[in-house]
Amino acid sequence: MATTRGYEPGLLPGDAFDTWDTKRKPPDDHETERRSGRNRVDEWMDADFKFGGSRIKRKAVALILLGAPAIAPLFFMLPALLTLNENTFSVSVDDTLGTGAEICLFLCLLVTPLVTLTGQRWFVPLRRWYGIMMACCSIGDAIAAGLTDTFAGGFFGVVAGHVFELMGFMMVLLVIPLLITGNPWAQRKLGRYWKRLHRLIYVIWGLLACHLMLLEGFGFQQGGTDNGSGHAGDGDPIFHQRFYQYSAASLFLLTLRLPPVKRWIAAREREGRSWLVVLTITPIFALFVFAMIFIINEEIFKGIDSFTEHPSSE
Amino acid sequence: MYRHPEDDERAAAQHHDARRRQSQSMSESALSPASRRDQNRPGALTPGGREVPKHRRSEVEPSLAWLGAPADDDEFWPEAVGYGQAAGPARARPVGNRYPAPDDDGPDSWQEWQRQPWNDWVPPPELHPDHPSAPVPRILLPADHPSGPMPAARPPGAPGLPQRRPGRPGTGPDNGNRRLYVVPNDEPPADRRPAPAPRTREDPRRQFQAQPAADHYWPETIDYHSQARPLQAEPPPPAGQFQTEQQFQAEQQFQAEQQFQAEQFQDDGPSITDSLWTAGQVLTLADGQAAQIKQEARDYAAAVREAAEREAAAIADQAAAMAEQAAGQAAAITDRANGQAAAIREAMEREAARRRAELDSMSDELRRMAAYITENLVAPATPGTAPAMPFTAPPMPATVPAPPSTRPARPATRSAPSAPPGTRPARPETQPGTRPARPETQPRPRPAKPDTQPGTRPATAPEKKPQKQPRQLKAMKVATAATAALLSVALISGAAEVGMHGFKFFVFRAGGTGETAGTETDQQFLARQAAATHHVAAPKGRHHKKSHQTAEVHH
Repeated sequence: MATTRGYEPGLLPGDAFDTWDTKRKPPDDHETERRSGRNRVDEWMDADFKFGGSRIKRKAVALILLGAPAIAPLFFMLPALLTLNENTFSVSVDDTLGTGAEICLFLCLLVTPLVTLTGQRWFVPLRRWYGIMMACCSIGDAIAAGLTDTFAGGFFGVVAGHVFELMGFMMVLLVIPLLITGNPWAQRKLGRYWKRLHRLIYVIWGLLACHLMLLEGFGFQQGGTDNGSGHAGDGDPIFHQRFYQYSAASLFLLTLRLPPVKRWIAAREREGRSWLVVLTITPIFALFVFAMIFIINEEIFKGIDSFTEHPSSE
Repeated sequence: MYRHPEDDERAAAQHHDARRRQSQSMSESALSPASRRDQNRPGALTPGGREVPKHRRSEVEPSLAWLGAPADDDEFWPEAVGYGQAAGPARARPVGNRYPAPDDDGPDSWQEWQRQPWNDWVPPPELHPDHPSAPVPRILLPADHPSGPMPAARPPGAPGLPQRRPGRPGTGPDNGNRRLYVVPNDEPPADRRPAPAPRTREDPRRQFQAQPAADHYWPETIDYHSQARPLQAEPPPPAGQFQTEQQFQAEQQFQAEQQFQAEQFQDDGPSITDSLWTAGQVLTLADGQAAQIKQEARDYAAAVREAAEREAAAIADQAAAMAEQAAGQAAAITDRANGQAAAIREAMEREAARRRAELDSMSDELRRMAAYITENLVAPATPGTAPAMPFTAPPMPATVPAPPSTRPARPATRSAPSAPPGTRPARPETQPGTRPARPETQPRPRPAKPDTQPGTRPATAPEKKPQKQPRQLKAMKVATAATAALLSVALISGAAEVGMHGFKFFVFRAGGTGETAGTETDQQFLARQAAATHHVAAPKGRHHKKSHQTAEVHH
């Protein structure tokens, strides 16, 4: 964790001569200075409350409540898995588990921007949880698709027979090492390389864009099945298209990861003008929320159909 | 014409009133509280009547002679000024030490006075009025007493001369100085010539100290002309009063002298000799006063001088102490300033050395860069530009040695027309890139600090200690290898699919390829939506319950 290097007029020229390259190393984390102080929400979350005969932290309850929805994709597919309903797997497993994995990926990527904006850290553990659930969903999707899909060829022919499937397959393969190393033991083993390894999530983020783009193209949904996720019941031809959903959600996540933006936010917060940050970020955050609403809506719709074993292929 | 001395003496006595008051205050200061309680007590009862106080002191303090106490020095007047120069005991121990006895050349005893010639007489020493040897009777007789003299008015004497005068009103009929009153009672006052100055040894100054009163003349009880022995009227003192032989002798001598004076005055009368004598006495008195004033002034000046000297000495000591303190402070400030200046100078020298070293490193870097460019890039192609490189560099600091003089010689050899164009010219012996040796005098402030600038790292870096491969890196390599293996699986699969079905099949999908079979789900969804539109219209109104029928609406 490093702080943003700001302008320091007290620096001596000697320091600039001698330590320029050592102090200008790119920081690996752009957390603001105010984050060094403990947030009041974090303190409130760390407080215990008595539940039954034990004392439970508020943060634990909040994390459970916020992390539980990540199990929903697997939960939706649980009846089909228990009944080995091939029809359900072949029809809606890609939509249910794939969309679920996408949601988990976005939620996993959302943690860091929220830390930047709010300064709170009590929800940071959700990042690992969402990552794990994303890996599980994606692996399940790949397995189900390879087993039950109607593409020609065997397992590898199905998962790698087309380019969009190959993108998905690569994503799944990249998720595997992240899933394996997503624990404290692997963190101790890898040390400082752990973070470098887990930056593969950004590769997965990019592969997801390719996957969705190749899956449905750039065309708007016209009611057909060739370039959209079914018929637009609400008349919106754009946000039912997965690639646009992905793009709208990724704009916010990507913007707040840019170092200049993070420095600007930190400077405004040091100046006490957080309102300017909120005012600036609000449009793209609204776009993110809007896209996530469509994604979650489809997940719930397809998931419920899968849970009832009446899968929808829209 | 006889003049009463009262009027003449009044003015002169006023001048001396202050001095007399001063003497009086000094005398009263010596009184004990018991004596002060007895101030209003009447005099002692004697065979002739109550004793009349003859002096103001006797009014406030009873005579020690009547108490049978031995006469001591205190019986004399303590005022040396008022009782002549010969008041030995009183002068020897003046009261309050306010009038120190002058060390003039006067006699020291009565014997010496006796032996002195007549013209050298000075006023005799004054005795206390209560002293038994006092030359006046102390018995107050009534005016109609048969043994008393007739009262006579005493006209004042000649002006400017010491006049006899009566006692002060209210203080008693006698002022203790009646020896000066010479009143011839055989002539009326109007016919009398001016009374000659009495030829007594009393200090004439005493004559000016009493303030005469015009209406209260003390009736002269002693007629020097008719009563040859006025002292005989005084009863003898009780036995034991003459304690010493000296006192008795002095009394006898004084009585004899008085008698002699009275006889002589009666026989001869006033003459020019008496006036001269009086003038001489006045001059003597003036000399004494002048000497006393001079002495007082001298004493006062000495006291003032001594005080001034002490004050000056104190001021000088204080000034010396302040000067010493200031010098100490100045020295401390100087030392502190010197220390600060030295520290600042040292810090600036270090800073300058550091800056100089940085400039040196920068110049070295530029020199190496220029040499590298000259040697590897520019020099083979354009030999003429090589000499210009050093001039493009920033100005060298003064401490940096000049570039080697052999540098400009290289282009001359390369630009030789005899050399074939394709052949590489031979390198000069002195390589441009070789830095000259650093002068020994050049400061090297931070020799141990590693050079962090990438360009300044020496080519022959010291051999680093072989670091053990970190365990985390090993794990990272394992993870990387696993990830690469997984990706290779995906890539191999994709490549296989491309090889099997072709690139077009791999990239583009045909209609329905990969689509989930059984799209009836969509039809089901559309059917459900269509069915929803065919909703049943519920009958409204009061009659709908009767029919119990539903109307299907078709859109």
